[in-house]
Amino acid sequence: MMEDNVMIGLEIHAYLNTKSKLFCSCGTKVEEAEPNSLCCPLCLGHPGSKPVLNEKAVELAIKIGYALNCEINKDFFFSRKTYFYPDMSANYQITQYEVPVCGKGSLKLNDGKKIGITRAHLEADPAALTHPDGIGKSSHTLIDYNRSGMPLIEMVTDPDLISAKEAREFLRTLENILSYLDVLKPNTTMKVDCNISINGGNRVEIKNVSGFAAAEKALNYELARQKQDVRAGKKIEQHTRMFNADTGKTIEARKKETEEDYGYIFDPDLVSVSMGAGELQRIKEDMPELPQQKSIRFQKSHGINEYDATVLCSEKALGDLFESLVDKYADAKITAKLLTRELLAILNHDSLEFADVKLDVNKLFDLIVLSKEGKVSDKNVKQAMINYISGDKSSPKEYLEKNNMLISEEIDLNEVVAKIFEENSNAIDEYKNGNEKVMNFLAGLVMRETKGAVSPTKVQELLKLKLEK
Amino acid sequence: MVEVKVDKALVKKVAKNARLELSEAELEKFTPQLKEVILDSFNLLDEIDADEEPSFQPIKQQNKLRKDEVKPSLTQDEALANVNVMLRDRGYIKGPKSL
Amino acid sequence: MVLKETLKYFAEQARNDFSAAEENLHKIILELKASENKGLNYIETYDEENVRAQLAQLKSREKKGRLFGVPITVKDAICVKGVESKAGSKILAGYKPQFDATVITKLKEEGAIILAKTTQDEFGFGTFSTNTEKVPKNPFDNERSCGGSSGGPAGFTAYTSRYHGALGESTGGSIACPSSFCGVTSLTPTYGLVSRYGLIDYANSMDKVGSVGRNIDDASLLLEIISGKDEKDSTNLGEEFIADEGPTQKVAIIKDFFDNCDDSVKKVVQAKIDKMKEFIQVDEIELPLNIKYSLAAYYIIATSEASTNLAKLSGLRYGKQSDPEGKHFDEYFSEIRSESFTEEAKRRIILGTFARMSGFRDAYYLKAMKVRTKLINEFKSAFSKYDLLLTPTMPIVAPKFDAIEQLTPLQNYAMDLCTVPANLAGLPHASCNAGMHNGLPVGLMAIAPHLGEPRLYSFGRIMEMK
Repeated sequence: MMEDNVMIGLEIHAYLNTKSKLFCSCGTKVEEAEPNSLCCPLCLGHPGSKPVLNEKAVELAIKIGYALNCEINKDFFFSRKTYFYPDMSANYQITQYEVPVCGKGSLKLNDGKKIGITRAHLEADPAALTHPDGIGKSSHTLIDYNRSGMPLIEMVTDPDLISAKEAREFLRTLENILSYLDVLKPNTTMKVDCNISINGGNRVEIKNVSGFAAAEKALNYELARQKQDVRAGKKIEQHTRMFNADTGKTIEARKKETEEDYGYIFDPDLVSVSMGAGELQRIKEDMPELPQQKSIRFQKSHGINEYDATVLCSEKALGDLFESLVDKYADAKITAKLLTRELLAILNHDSLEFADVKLDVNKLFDLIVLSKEGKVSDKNVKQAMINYISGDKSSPKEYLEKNNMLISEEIDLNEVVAKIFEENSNAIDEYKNGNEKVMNFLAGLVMRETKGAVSPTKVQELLKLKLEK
Repeated sequence: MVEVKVDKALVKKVAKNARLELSEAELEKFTPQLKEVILDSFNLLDEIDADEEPSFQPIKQQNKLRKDEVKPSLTQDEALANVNVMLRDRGYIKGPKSL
Repeated sequence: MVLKETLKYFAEQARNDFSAAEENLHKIILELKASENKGLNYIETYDEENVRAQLAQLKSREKKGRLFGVPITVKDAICVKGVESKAGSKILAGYKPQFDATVITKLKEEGAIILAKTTQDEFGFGTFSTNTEKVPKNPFDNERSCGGSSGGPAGFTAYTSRYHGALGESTGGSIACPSSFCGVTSLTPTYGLVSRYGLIDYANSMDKVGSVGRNIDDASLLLEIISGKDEKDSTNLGEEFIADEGPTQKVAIIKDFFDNCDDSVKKVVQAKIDKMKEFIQVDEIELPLNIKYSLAAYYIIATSEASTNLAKLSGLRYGKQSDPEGKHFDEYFSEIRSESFTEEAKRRIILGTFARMSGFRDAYYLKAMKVRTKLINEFKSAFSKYDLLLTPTMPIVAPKFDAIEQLTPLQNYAMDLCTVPANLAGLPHASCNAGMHNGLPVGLMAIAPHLGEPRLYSFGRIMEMK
């Protein structure tokens, strides 16, 4: 069976982390405001109002460009994209057309594959629409212009993605990099337009999908839908679809008789921007450490391996947690293992995101110290973590102490081993007959007897001694 | 040279893009008028070459940026002051539907 | 009654004796009302209560200001907070801005009284102020046009016998044209000298607020006050104008413009120039590119920008609104727009939308933007040789209204041939009365290089010499 040639490109919109809007000095805390209370004449499209560009938005956009390895167009300007819609306060959007602030770039996925970035640019957000009786059923719309003029960065990828899963991974990686930069408005989701075509067929656009999980679902559904259509002999036409998050399906958007012609002009109320070399250098130097650099530093300074380092840096907060632990002189290798193996395994198992769990640095630190001192077996570390995250959530150290799961100095290992041998007298004979598995069997018994509160290494040593006697 | 046929169809199409619904009488009246402007005036620019930089404004300026500072917005009442009372709804502005 | 003094003189009187301000205001209000009763239509909006309140506030105010007590009328497109500002259009009926235009703030700071909003062509679309409901009538002959689009400002300035100043707005010549037809003096500044914050847009890369007065001193005083830095307008130059002497020694008439004017106009202008030859050297120059291509480039760029500016006027948030219940937005927008714009507005929206549409954008909009640079360079070259360039302001004297009705749109546009080039290039220009023809004023226009306003002041002084 021939593999389908899938091409997916994404257009991602995200809010920039500025105090004021893109072209006016209204505040950006729209989530806290009453409708139409964070507006000025410009936000409302009042005749006579004029735009003035926010320097911070430019700086953040350029930082994003550097992080995505983009060519920065040091000379850029803004255009008017004219189209009519109830959420448009001027029925034109101020955006970038011919020369975006960031040109071609790329982003590397974890497996090393490079995804091309076509461009990234600044544009103003329209207003928010509410349909009082639900979309499609309302007889009118309610408009709130607080969002009008909010600063957006639009990032466009080349159609290099080949699956829904890869698209999701791309989005995750992108979000991670941007979180390192601290350029996006906190507590907001990225909106994604997905462009997809199969086997060189026409491009279908799925508009305005909110969040990565939804993007993956939408793409999976659409791919399946298109394949079904093709098998049934139908031709895929170029068109736009909307994704319904509740049903998980994509639906064809209302087809317009005439395609909107945006009639771009240079915005005559604004002048062009020309970034000086000095200015660009300053912005570059002001960039925080990015995931790749951080990973290399972790490997060098803390001696952990590349795989662990990459995993730790794939989520900023996880890497930060690692650093706060090693800063307290927690053993780097043990910490890395705890976070990348135990912790992530538990999260995967319970379908949780790292952001969903509240972890106390000190409690983890205590556990790591115990492990370093040889006072707890790996198995019990795992148990304690499971309990900490999904059980009664008590601190791992407390849990281990309460349940006698610490390697106790008081336990007379010799006595326990002697007891086990007594109960399994034919063991020695079987071992001498060549059954080496006996060792592990006996070790297991010892561990069970002591509830794991002994050092596994010591057990092995002692058993070997006795068996070889 | 751009070949352009300025007829009623074109005028109607452009008008629609601009959300203008022209009456038949308007279409009849405007089409020859617009044709005259486009063909006898606008098309004159075909006569000359111009590889100069486009002029955004008559005097070139660059880098007019403002500090990222917040200034007071209009109050909700001020924002809605120009909205017909019948189009105000609990602080929202009532508008036509999109689907 | 002929006023012998300037606004500067009057303001000083008023600062020393408030009753001078009261008396002047009282009398101008009577004249305003008389003009309305006669159906002369200079006034779009007049709010007596508001005006009297301004006067009262002036009385108790500490800082008096350079325009203390001076009544100023303001073209309707300039936003005055809380006062209906429609730019001559039905679609903005009821729009009361939440802010003053910067020029208004500046006037108020200097103690001026904002007397009324004056009539104009809708959004500035026109040369005769006929594209609007209230059509102003020429004070010299009520059956003739005041010119446009600032017909109201110039008409009222010519009409009143009281101390007064007016603000107009020019995109393609809308201050100079009516000044010429109404026999008054005007200054249209360098693009960017005066803030456009609060000006309802026609073509943002060409709009300028300017001054109209009885003489060059008055027009200059007004321009001094309204010019200057404004961070709220990204295209503002951050420069000021001070009425001072500037070089006017070497001057040239633009022959191509002159030759395209009516004989009546040529005669009056030539006579005036001949008299001035006593003081200045007057050569001839040709601007072959401008005469041929300026109108086309202007109308392409102006309508392109205007069509985007007017897109926001769709029956939401302010101005004319209707009931959206059950209507799809295309329907709602189209209805209100189609029933509220004048024919000329519709034509210009269509021309501008066409010029920037895909498939036509390169050949029209982008080409015109490049041609503009070329045309500006032609002027710059001329200014390397001359201090000022001269031309009749308009090719005709004020026409009768029924003659205007016979013109096609293109013939209308062609009337702008003398004023458009300077306006497209953002060059400052002054229009002063050069004389009369059969009782109708003829204007002479001087064009200076960018920020060459002082030369215009000097030129105006020369024009006014007996």
